[in-house]
Amino acid sequence: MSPATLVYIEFVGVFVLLLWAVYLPFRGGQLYNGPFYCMAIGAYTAAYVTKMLGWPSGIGLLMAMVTGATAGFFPALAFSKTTGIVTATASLALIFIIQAVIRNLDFVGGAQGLWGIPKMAHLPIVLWVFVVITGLFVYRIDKSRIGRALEAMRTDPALASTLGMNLRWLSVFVMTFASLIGAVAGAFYAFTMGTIIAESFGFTLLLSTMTMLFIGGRYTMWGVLISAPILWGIPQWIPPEMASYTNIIYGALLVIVLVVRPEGLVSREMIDRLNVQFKRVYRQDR
Amino acid sequence: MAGMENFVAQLISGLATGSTYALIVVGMALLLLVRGVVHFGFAYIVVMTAYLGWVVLGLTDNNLFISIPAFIVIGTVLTVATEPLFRPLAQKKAFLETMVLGQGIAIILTDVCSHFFNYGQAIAFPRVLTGGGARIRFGIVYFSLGDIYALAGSCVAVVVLLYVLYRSKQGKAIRAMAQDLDVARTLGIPFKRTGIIGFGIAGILAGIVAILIAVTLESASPGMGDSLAIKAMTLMLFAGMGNLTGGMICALILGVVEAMAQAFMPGRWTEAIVFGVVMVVILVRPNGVFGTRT
Amino acid sequence: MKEKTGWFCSARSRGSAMALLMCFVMTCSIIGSGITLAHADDAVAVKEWKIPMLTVLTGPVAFAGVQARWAAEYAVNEINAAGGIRGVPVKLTVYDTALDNAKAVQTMARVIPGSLVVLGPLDGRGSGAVAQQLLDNKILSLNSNTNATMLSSSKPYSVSYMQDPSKGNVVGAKKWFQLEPWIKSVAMFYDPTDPASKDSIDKFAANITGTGVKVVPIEIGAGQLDFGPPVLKAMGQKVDGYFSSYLTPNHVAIAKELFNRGITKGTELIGSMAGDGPELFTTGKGYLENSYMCENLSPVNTSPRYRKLVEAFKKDFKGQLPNNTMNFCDAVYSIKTAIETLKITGDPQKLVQERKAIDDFLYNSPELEGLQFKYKNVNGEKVAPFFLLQIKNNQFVQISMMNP
Repeated sequence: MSPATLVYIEFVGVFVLLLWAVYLPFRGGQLYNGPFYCMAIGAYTAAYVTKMLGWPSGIGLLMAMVTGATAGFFPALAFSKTTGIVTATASLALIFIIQAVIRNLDFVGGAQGLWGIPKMAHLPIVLWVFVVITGLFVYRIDKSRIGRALEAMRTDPALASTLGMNLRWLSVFVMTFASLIGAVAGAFYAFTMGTIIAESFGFTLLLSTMTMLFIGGRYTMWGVLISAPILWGIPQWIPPEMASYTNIIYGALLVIVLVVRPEGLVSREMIDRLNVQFKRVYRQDR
Repeated sequence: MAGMENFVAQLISGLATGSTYALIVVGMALLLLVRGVVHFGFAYIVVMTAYLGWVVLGLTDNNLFISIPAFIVIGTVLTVATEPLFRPLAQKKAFLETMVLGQGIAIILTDVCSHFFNYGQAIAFPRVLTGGGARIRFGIVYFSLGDIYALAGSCVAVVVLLYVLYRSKQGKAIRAMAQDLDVARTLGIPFKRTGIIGFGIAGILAGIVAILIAVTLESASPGMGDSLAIKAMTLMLFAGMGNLTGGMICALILGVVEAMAQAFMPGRWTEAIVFGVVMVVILVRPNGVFGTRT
Repeated sequence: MKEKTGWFCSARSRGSAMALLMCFVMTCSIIGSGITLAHADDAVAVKEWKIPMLTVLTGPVAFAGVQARWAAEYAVNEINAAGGIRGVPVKLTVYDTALDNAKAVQTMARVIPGSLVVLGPLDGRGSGAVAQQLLDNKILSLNSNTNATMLSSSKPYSVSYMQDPSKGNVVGAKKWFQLEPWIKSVAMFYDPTDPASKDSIDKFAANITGTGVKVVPIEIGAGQLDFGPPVLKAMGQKVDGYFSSYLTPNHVAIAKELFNRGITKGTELIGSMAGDGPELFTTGKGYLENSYMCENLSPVNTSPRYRKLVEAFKKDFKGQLPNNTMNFCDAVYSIKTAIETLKITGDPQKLVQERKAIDDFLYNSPELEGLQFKYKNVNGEKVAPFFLLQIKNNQFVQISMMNP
């Protein structure tokens, strides 16, 4: 397998994790930017632990999860009380704050960034094992009571609270879990890149991620498995002269999808129909 | 008394920048009111208008009589052009999604600016438009002509806008739709036409802001859209979504704070501190400092 | 009819003749191939030299990336018009990393297989991001790691495509102090969030101590639009001179603020190579008269090769002057010199040793011919003269060429 393909698989894995991290709170109607800020934290933790402290990458990953969950928990407490646009825009502040903090911390490289991060053995395999595990978690959450509660919270919060759900703690849980996944994505990002800088975790990443989520299908977990590989792959497959217009293509795709097929490529309707087909086939076999 | 002179000059400069932010916030608030749209791409439309206006200036040999109206026309056309894109989402009252659609427009406009204009370099506006930073004296205070034009221009724009919103028939229709979309429709207020008019007014504002940017900042770059949009969004939230007067006041304050902060705060932390404060305030008062209604 | 007689007539003699002929042919071939085998090592094994270039065509520094691409294409076209390298043409493929480190890594992974050497990434951050890949594949990249610290992350597989701007600032400033000896303190504007800017100020402060001139750092925020406040702050420090190591629009803005507040001699201000764009003479007209600029390449240099490039550049860029990314022209020519001197074949079987040969040659290079000067790479750093320019009558004038 060529090195380019390996790197591609690694990046797609990172994006899928990050996208699921944004997808989960969105199921509850929250567009929460915590995962990005925790991605930075996870990346820097993993990098620091493996490079400066010299510990194995597995420990680095574990530490990233710990710091990510902790760092994700506290803002989640505050943001669980807010909704919609407020959450989306106010949590933007987290991204700017963490970037400023990183730039001023000289012991992790400051504005110069951190390079020379030791590699993780069998990175693509470990990464995709994590992707599958995370996917299972997300699937279980989606199908469980939590998933239904999130759906209720999104469509009619007033009704949801009268049904006795504790919306606040539901939000905190989902946001913290999302931040954790974001931190894991960050750690794997650090291992893939070998070098990390504060700018990588900023507004540009946010825009690309939103693009991938909304094009792929934001009401199901499967959409990102299509949009992440395609959108990351576009610059690789089109001729280099055109590749510099990638952003225009992304923007245009996003606008077109939102106007023509607002739910994204993989819509809930589509999943339902696939489920019905699947059940039919399954029953016929018996 | 150099200190005092400078302080006043900085204050005026900050107010001028703040008035630019204020008009962007007003434009976005208007779009929010008329269509329930969070037009994240509005600030980028402003930058694109500035770029196209710069092209017109170049083609007409810096003819202000043609170029200034051109800015306004371009701003209106660009904004109204985005209206149909938002209609399906607006009808479904899909708030968050409109913000992401705006982001899509933002991505396209930023990239077009960096690819097709001036080989990706920042553009600079000619002195005939900007007043060249010439200082005029008023008592012991010096300030720049450009800042005065900007402040005067924004005041006029805001007054006219408020008049239109509160006195004209169209303005009333817009406010009715903002109040309650369904009731407004049953009352026979045309959804499509009022929306287009609302976008049109916002577009005129966009053109005016583009001129103000040319006059106060004297240049524009592809990356400007990002910083303007984020500031405008945060201001809207901070003041209260859809709150026109609140938004304007907060924008002016931000302009002044930015100008003054340089003197007292280390540059590397300014952005984080400002956002941090905003975030805390919003968390404490999710409806914004002034509340969500005009 | 007379019967044909002679040696060829009988079948047996025909057979032996054939056998003899075959022996003769075989012997000749063996000798011949022996001769050609001896020279085959040097023969070019490819139809074209594929050189990839990673640059930035999207985003805030797109203007520099576009010029860098132009410079490389200009060199390649010139080389191909003169017959190519070792008789084989060069094919340049340009990729856009859009200032995104992840894209830089992905693109580098794509272009490395099969390549002898890589041009770029253009930006310092991207150059740092691909360090591991350069080390893993032992392939040389001519990129923006311009000083020892940056070069260390991928040592010895990075060679800077231009001289170290922070050194240039120091060398230029020292000359400035000589020309304007009344300057005893300098305010230096820098952006603490930008590694290059921060590196500049650190080096500057450290290296200027010998001159007895005091340096006052003034921070400027990353998204700064209004330069009034920092300029006021600098003026409040009662300094004699002002140094801005910024992109042109910012440099012009700073000059304007200074001018409007009474700093009008011009000789108090000096800029760096990042600020040499065309706006200096359009929107900056009148505010920059007599001000200085440190440069890696002098826009008004008179060397014939450079003048020829400028004419071509002006045609494509509507009369503008080219910037420092023209150093990529030198970079392409240095690759040509390496391939010719080392008799590189491009044979895929020899990829590993040819990559090493090119790297060894260019990392500590012999004297190479540049557009404006002769230069050498020493431990990956391009060691070449710097220039001090002044703006007089709204044009650049070359004041001095200084050895590093």
